[in-house]
Amino acid sequence: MSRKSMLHGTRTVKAVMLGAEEHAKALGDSITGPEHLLLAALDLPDGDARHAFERIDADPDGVRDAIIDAHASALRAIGIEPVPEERLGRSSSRRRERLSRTAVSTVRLAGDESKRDRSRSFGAHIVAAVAQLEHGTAPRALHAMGIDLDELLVAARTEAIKASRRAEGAARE
Amino acid sequence: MAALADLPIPDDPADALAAVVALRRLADRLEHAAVERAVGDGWTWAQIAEALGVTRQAVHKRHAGTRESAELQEAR
Repeated sequence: MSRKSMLHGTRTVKAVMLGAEEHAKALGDSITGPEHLLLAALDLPDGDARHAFERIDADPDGVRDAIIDAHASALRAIGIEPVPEERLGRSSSRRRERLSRTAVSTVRLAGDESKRDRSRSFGAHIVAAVAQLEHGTAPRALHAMGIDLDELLVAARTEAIKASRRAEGAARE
Repeated sequence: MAALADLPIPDDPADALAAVVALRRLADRLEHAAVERAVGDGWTWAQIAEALGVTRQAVHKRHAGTRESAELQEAR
């Protein structure tokens, strides 16, 4: 792997971690979870995470609303009408948002995915890691979108391999 | 607000646990909004802690970084 590729990988990891914190704050969450990592991965300019969704005809722009809807549906299931998001606003805390244990596991799993295909596509690896979660907000939101997580996992791994080949081609030129 | 016994607890543990997550998230956001408003209205950390039933240190640690409180502290 070239030095340029490694540096790009490090920058991408940092962008996802910072982006996830921002998404957590914007959604009013005091803890950063896998759902925020996923949203940050979808923001990456390489588009690998988005392509994984598009590969299975799922709309990556629908993920954020699906996350909000997952919380709202969970409240309605116990007879509580959710408070509209705009009335609660974003978290104004200046503290760094904590990473949930599941989010830490997700990042580790994304790292394992990276070793598996030797690609630096952290965005696709985050999608692959989230697709392997069984419980929690992220898989519930994705299920509600009608997404088959096994299909999403295959799509994310395919995009990671494609990105790896693209990087190898660029390095040869 | 319905009594706990009247709340329809979902049969599926995944649904019940998701409801717990959503409730915690809602309570957390209500707390942040309420503390920010209290600080804006001139409440002290001791008064806020008493109202929340926690220690002053706990409430300060959790909320001292909020935009409103930081701006007020800077102004004082």
